Amino acid sequence: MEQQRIHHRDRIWADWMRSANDGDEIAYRRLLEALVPFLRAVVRRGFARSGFGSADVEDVVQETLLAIHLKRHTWDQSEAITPWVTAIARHKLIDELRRRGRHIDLPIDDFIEVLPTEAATEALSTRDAERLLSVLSGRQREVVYAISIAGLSAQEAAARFRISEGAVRVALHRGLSALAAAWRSSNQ
Amino acid sequence: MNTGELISALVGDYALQPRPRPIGRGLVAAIIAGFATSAALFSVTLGMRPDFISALGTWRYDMKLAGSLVFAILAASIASRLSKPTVSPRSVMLVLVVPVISLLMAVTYELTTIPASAWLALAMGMNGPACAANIVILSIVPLGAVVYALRQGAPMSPSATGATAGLLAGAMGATVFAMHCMEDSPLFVAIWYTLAAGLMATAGLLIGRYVLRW
Repeated sequence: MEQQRIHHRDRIWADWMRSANDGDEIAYRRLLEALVPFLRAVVRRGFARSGFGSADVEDVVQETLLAIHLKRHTWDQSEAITPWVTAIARHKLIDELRRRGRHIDLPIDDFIEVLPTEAATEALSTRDAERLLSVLSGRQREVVYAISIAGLSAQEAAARFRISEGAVRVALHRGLSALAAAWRSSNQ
Repeated sequence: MNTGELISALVGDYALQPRPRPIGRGLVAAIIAGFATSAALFSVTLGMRPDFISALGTWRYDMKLAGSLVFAILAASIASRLSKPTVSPRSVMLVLVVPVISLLMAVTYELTTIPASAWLALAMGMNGPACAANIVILSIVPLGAVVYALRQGAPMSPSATGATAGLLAGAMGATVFAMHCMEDSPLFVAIWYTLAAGLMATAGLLIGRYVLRW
């Protein structure tokens, strides 16, 4: 039963990702949103395994989502997607534990079968958004802020900053890559 | 920034490049560019050995040239696979024992067919250290290009992937250098070519540990 459920879930996620790779933006959003409770459960389990409480779970979840986004070309469309998602989460988890001074081996099989049955509500990210965005330069910060927190579309942001939509997208992409780099080196 | 807001930013960014570019393509481009640069550097400095055509008729030379090339192809395929987060180094790097065993077999054959008095001269050649240095020099641009391409990846182990990139670059440098080098004994190759490849693997490991993190 459990196996079947996991298999079924993987098929849905993989379908969404394939559609996203063909240009379906709605499928992409659906996939990312569906991954969040799974990732929370995975990270929570990883923290528990290594003797940490569930503080800062959301930070690792966010880092993992960003990595999934920036590295989505490393998923092979013909393969299952859960092991790939889990491998990325595990990588980010190990990074975080290392930052806290723990070197621990987390066998990947421990995580694949995670089902988000635990309370998967969102703990607020402990990183202060303003502080985080402050690592970005002027235009990148404005654009990332406008699209994420203010919820503008790329088109609206372009109109607000009087730049082309293409320039908005480039600033957003560079901003997110810079954010990933900053998270990676934070607390070191 | 809460998680929902982050997802909005990711979806907004997604529209810039919905179709993912396969990782192998960048690696192939880097290999071609690195190879072309080393070949150009080679042709203005070292140049082909004068007896290149007739040397192709000897197994020792063929083994050195083809061996370097095959090793490069092998390392390229390993590096490309390692750039996926689900692939563990242990599972794909084991195949590297095949070229190592082949070289050891050639060395054994050389040692059994050639009198011991000639071993040292064959192993040292005219100038072994210069040969290793030349290979390293010819490998530097390929290493930069390959590591740059691999930055697109998400390797489980940045160090192992970097070391593989170093082996790939070293094998590319060795392939180019082998067209100049007159020392064809497996004894010479096993010492000096291996030394150069080992240096490149170490450099790649140290660079990869930082540059290939993600």
